[in-house]
Amino acid sequence: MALVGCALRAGYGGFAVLDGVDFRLEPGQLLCLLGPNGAGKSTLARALCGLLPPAALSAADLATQPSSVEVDGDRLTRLSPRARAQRIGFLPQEIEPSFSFRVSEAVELGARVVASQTPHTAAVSAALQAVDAEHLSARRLDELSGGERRRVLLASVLAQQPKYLVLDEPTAMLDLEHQVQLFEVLRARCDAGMGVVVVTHDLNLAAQWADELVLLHRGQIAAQGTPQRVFVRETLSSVFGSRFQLLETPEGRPVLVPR
Amino acid sequence: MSRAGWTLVVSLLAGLIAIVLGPLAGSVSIDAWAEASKWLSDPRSEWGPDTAIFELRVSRVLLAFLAGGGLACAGAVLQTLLRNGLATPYTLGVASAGSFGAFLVLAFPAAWFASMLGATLTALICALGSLGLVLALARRSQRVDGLLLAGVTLNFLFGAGVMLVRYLADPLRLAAMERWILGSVEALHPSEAGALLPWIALPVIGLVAMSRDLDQLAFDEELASARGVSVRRIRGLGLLAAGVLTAATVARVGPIGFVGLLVPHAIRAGTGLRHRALIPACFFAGGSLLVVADLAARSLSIGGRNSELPVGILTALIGGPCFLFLLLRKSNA
Repeated sequence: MALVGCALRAGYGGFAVLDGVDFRLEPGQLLCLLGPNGAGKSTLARALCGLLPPAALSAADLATQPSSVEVDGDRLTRLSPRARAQRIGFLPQEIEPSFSFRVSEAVELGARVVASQTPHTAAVSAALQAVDAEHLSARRLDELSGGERRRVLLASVLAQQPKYLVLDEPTAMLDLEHQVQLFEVLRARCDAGMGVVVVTHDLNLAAQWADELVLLHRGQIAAQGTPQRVFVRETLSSVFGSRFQLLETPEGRPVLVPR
Repeated sequence: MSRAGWTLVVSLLAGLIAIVLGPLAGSVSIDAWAEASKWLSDPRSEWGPDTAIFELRVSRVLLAFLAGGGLACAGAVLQTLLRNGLATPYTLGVASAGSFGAFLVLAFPAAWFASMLGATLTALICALGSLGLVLALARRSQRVDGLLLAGVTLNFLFGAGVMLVRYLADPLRLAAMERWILGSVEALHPSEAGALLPWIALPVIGLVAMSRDLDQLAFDEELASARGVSVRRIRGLGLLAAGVLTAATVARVGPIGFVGLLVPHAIRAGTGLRHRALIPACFFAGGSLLVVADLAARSLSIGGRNSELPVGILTALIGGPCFLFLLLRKSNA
């Protein structure tokens, strides 16, 4: 039982961004994907959701080392798109609604992935409540602030009730309070058995909350493991350069301070 | 009942009222109720001239209803799929392309092709071709309004094509086609609406069937794909449906603008973005709107005489300023 990527090669238009990445997410695990711009974080997130076809430098590469994603033992390519969506929820970095959606409508779109009939408003309000956005229910998405909008979108993907959740930069544009709140929500979901992947640029948030970190660099995994294992001076400076100071919180979690 | 439900019920009622009451009014005064019962129950041999007038009105109302409904649904789905509130069969040039195709066949009828079916199929080929072209041009231009600019370009091109056909065609034949060229829902027999019915009903039913996927697609394409929507398939089928609706309508009634632009905007305010309510509500509202517009056009009195104005002229006169209003509102937003 896990979301597993084997020798993942994925990219855009024949250009492979990921070059043979192995990945594993257990149910109940909160995993953060880290790395500099262009390292392949979003590409890995998309590939795990089956949104990118395998790309390779040559067909021979694909034949010798087939790139695949399995969810609880089932090959993603063998699942129907709907069955896949019921198991893996994905939230892209930004979305572009073509019209002005109401908050409740936007969240309901997520709830519909599970329900065959019109879902109860209960699912929608529970998801909104989880991200502290119930009061926004009747507003329109394009009237909200950036942070409010991110929270509503998170509610929309939570309403989908997937077994695994992949979030691309969910903390972008959130204030400190809501960043912490978001990770609290995710932690609660993990405790209830959900597996969560968070792509983030915020190394410290990741170090405080994640069970496991995956550090990507140029399409490959540079380091992987608990925050204490990944936050090692040599590893971090080989990826991010050396202009930082590595400290530790009283709880023993690493903290990075730029200098 | 929800707001969307009410909007659907109101538009359905409006549709029923338009179909039932539409034939009762017109420029010639007849005892409509008596003629209606005669038309429904008596054999044709016992009809008077007023019964024949009543039948003409019924035919016309049914044809206007189907055409208006089809155009409104085509507009609604194009706006969703192309993610642009100003996308309609007319602004994208799809309707001009269809008109050109139909006009070509109707103006130079080859013996084996001189039928409404031939005109519809040619219109369909031109409409789908232009839809493909407008999408390709918009993708290359990389501009936000590339889609509309591509549509304007195609409108010019096919407009020129129509003028060329007019120049080359037999003047006598053109005179007979004048009302079609201006956009008119005149019909001689209810069977004319019957022939159009499958071309409208099938795409509309298809669109309702894929309404859940259209909802997701309207929200965000990548998210829709992550939620199990086959984006390419739904886009392809949706554009095909819009193409068929437009082509079949323009082949039969000529160019009638504005219905596909304004009806989806107005209905969306009531139904929200759920296509399961939006598409049928657009169909009924678009249908009733065109019935009413046609009633107004044929009853208008210009210079003391009854005008029998082709409804396409009226909708174009109203539609132009409305398009401008939406365009300005969009650029302010």
